[in-house]
Amino acid sequence: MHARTHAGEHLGAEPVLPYLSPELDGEKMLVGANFASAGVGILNDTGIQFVRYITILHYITCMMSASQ
Amino acid sequence: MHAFHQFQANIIHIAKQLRYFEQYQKRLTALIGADAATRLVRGALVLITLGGNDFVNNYYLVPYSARSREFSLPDYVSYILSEYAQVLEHMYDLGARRVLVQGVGPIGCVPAELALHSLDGTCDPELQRAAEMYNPRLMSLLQDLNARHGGEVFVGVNMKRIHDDFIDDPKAYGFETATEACCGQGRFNGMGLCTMVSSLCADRDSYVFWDAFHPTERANRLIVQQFMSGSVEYIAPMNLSTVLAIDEELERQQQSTLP
Repeated sequence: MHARTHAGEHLGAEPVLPYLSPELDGEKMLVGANFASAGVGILNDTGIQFVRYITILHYITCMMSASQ
Repeated sequence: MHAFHQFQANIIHIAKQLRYFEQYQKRLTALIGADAATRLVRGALVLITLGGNDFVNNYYLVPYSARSREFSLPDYVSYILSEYAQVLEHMYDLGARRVLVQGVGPIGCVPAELALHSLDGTCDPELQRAAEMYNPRLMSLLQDLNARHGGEVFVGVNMKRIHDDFIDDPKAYGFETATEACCGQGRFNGMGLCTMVSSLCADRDSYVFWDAFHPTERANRLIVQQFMSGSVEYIAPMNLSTVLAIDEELERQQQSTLP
């Protein structure tokens, strides 16, 4: 749960749906939308490096489970 | 490789998020008409949290990262803030008039950094230095933008300042630990991601950090309390309670001038 969800609750609003959710339609759009994404930065190359980081972690995890 | 592509596809860059914001407004217009859609967006509170990853997952991701060879820290802060200014201006152009801009948190104190750089749970000084340099400069950027637009559009949150309270004295806020993550593995439970196989704490409410980077739900609730009623050290030029009171008053005045 993110701060934005709680900020919404505090203001008496229902939690907003992710913008890409198929459920975000009609009246539900009137309370807003959540456009946020994990790993995103101000700079475009921030995301790319984040992917590398995750990939390396994933790779290590895979290697560890493969060696067990 | 499958996981790689899947993850890459999941990152929505900020330029794309802004295109979605625009698209959302077109859909709103189709639903309730152009005037009502514009009013809805102008009256909305927009939250944006951006910048932390530009340090943790870029400048400081690896020693001698490309960006750290290209820029000194003060120059990097200037560079990302000049890019951020364009993002915020774009949001203004798209009709946002109340934007809560969250600065960078205590990135040197997150369990992920402690796991890598700390023996005893003391924060990484270099990352803390970055956050301490970035937040006040973000605040002054927001001041400049507000001056340019002649209104208090952008409200800045010093996330590090809010978090510092928990980190300096976790027990005062009912937390048992501000160094260990609730869900993770390895030192400080701060290695890697929170997954099905991670070690999970018994009582998440007594932890500041849920995973290697992010606060727990309870910590987030305390953060939001500061959004609502914090002093200008935490949220400037004013807190959300003040914003709401001003906006309600404006709305009342507008309604009373209607024929």
